Amino acid sequence: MNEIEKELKNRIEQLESKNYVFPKRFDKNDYIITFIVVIVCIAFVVGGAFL
Amino acid sequence: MNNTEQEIVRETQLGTMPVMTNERMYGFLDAVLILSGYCIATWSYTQGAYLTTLVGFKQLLIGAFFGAILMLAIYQLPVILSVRYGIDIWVWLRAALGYKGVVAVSIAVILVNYPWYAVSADMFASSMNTLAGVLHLPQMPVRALSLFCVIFGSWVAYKGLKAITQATRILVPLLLLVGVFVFIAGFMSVPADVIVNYRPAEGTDITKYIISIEANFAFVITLVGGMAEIPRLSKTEKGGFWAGVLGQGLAGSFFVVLGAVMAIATQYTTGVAESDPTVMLATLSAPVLALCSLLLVAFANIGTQAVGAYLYAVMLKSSFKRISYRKLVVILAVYVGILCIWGRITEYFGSFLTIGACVYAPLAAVLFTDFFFIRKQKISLKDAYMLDGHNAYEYTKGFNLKGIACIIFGCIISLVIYDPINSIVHIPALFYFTPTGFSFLSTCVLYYVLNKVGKKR
Repeated sequence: MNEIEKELKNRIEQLESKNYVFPKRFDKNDYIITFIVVIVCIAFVVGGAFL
Repeated sequence: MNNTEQEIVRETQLGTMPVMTNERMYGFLDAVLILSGYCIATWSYTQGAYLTTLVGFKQLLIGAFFGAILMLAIYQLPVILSVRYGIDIWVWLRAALGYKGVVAVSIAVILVNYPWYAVSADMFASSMNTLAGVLHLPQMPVRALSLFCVIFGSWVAYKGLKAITQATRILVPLLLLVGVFVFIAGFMSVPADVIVNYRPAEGTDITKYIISIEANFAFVITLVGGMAEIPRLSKTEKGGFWAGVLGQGLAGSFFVVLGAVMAIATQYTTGVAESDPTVMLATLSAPVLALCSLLLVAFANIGTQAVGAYLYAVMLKSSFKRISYRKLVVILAVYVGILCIWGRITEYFGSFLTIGACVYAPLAAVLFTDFFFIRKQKISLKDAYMLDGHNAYEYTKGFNLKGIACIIFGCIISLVIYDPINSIVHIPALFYFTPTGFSFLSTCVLYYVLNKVGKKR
């Protein structure tokens, strides 16, 4: 096994370990904001058809 | 740093090795600058000019911003997986399409998407010759200029992420600044109400409005293949996601609208509907501003070439891990170079774009459904990376037939609804969702149903 493969295996083990600190998650508020953005966009796109 | 460590850094930044949390190099600002730099190119102006043939200015604004952001905010949501695990979407897609399925689909995406860069190079050549005309200099051979754009852009990509980041930190703010000046110049060159109340001479109707929304959907969904390469280097999931949405949906769309403003103003001033931004700028702007704008527009294409070469070389690394990143950049440059030497890509570009747009929506749909509803944000990385003894995503000789069937279904359904080559609507009721929109939605449903039948891996 070469060094790159060893490093890959090591990184995957870290990612799958319980102690690994992931980047800050996309939380509930982020989903709510995205949902609102989507709804506003749909409203404008649908409304645009009547201009 | 010894050779092994350097190789690991290369494999992390320019390959498929997962990027660990402490190695992330991009905050939201850098990520949005790079992705804006990718989206700002001459084709944004061309898209804006095209939209003016379909709808009035107010509808155009809605489509360019709200239509684009709507599609981006939905299809780019799975990039949060790339930020979380530091991996490309193509690593995740091994679970949805199978190991060989990913190779087949990624090659198809490269073949239909990469001609964009030959068009970008062609536009660079056209810009430089317009610039030469303004300066009363002799015209230069188009093929030589196009190849210069490809070689220069690929060279920046070849140098790696540091060169790309530095180039975009300088180029993008300048481009945005020039964009604002050009926007003002466009509005000042004609009465404002000519632009605000613009409607195409042939009139507009609901079909044309839907085609304009479809054009915006198709325009922004082309990034799906390379959407994760920058977010996977981002420090937060929120930053990575919004950098993609706003880089394309605000910065890119601003230049689409700018193209529309310039097209309307040029048409009003000269009576000719012009789609070449460099001609528009030379016609409408003050000489000094025109020169600066032309130069920057020309070099925006090199920035796009550089970021594009990086995105797609990293994407290909997922399929061809034994070939180095730099070799892949060279291979991509050769492919675009051949198209530039052929010299007729712009003539056939409509066909390339049409075929390409059919593939992106189902691909995005499979990834979206797989991430949120089938695998529920969890994947076996050992199987995705095919570590010894882990090959759950081998499926049927390397292909997940359910995923592949969904991609084919999505391609066919969009063409069944609307024939973009002859502009014929076949199924009016479904056309209201737009071909890209319905292809995305129906592929999501089909992929979900197929995966609820049988064993999940």
